[in-house]
Amino acid sequence: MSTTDWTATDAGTALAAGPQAPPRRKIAIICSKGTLDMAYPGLVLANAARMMGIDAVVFFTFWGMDIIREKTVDKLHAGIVGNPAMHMPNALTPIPGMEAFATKMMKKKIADIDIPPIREMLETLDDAGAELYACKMAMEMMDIAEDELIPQVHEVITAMDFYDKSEGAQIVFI
Amino acid sequence: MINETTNRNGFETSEPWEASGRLPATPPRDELEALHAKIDALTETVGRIDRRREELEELVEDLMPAVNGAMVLLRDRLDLLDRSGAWANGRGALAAAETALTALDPHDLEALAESTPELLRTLRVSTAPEITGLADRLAESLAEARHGPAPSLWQLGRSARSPRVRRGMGVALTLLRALGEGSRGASVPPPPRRRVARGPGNTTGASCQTPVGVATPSPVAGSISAADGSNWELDADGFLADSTTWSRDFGEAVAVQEGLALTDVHWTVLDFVRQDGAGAGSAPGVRRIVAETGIAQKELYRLFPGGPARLAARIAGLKKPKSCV
Repeated sequence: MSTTDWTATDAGTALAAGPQAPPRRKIAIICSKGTLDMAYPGLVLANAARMMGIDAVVFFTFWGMDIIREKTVDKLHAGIVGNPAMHMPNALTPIPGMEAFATKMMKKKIADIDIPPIREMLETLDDAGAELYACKMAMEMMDIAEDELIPQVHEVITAMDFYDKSEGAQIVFI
Repeated sequence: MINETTNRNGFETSEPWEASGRLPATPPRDELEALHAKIDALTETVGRIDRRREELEELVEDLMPAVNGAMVLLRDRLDLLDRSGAWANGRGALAAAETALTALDPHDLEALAESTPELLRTLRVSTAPEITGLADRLAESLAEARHGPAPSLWQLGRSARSPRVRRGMGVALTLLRALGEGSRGASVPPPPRRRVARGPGNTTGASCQTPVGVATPSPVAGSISAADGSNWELDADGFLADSTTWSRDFGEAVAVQEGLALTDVHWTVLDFVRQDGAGAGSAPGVRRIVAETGIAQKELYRLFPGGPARLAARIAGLKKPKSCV
């Protein structure tokens, strides 16, 4: 008996479910960065998934923890240093005040096209039924207590828990 | 005064021997019966092992001439391989095997007896002409390899271009795979890997994702029909191809397909979506529906479990919303 036999059996079971029940699509997004420009893509993708009936799981880890901390959620900055896509001379980016300026500009542009601020985006996601999870290891590493997180976070989970939660999902790492 | 059926404190005892402090000459009848049953079972096991041993002896007798020849052949090959130093590492394994053999318990022996026919079969196969020929060639190559210089990494890489080397590598890989399979234990089947396929609506906790029984419909190309026989063309994403043909019946037909029963609240949303879509050219996103109709977002997701933006637009006969929120 070859080791691939179970795959065929498994697929057979899936097929037996019939065309009436296509597998539900699911997406799992890992948010690992804490800058404004890295926070939005994950949240917008998760929200768009829910808007069209795709299950969504968002897992925050490392610098992404800033997105779900009460202390920092409203104060995310645009990451401009070393980012050639900012279209400004790289040598200018470390000048004090430059980052604050770029952040302000970005927030304004985002508001102009009616995209909510990060905190509201997270509330939207929660209302839409997306599941938000925080990384246990990152919490311990950065000495973050559970009550420091925004209330929309469902649970603090481990990496292995993440795989349970994202079973059958397509995984996006941001 | 103490008699046979009362103890020191004058209480009656059920067993007269308790008072006298001596054990009875024979244990109770039920214990004896249990013992007999055990002995019977053991006898049967021993008998079974013995019968199997007899069978094996017959088999071995039949095989003896072949085995003798094979042993002579194998001994010569092994000797050649030994002289070329190939078994230096094997000696440790032999010592380990010896230890294992001395530590065997009867249970292991039974298992060994069961696998003996298999071992004999292997021996017979391994003494087939092709195999002995292969062993010959291997021994020769080993003897050759001892005299030449060790190949450099570059040479090793280049030799991988030879089809013969590659075939040999393939064989080695197959052998390694078989070893890996074997060492995992034949009785342990590989654990089923997690599959993408999930039951419809497998949701967790208190989330308001699609409830059980409602699957996300895959995009339906083609057409959709109402109960009265009217028919509408759909585009590749499952949206109404020609929005001018829309009617409430179309909405109802799509809703049935999506497992939805449309209520007045649904139609409040759908009317807004149609009206807004007519003006803006594309269906509104969820954020806009919430802001304009005043229906809470959570409620909206409850009304349209297949995704409010996609589903409302589809039922309303519009295209997918252009908004991302």
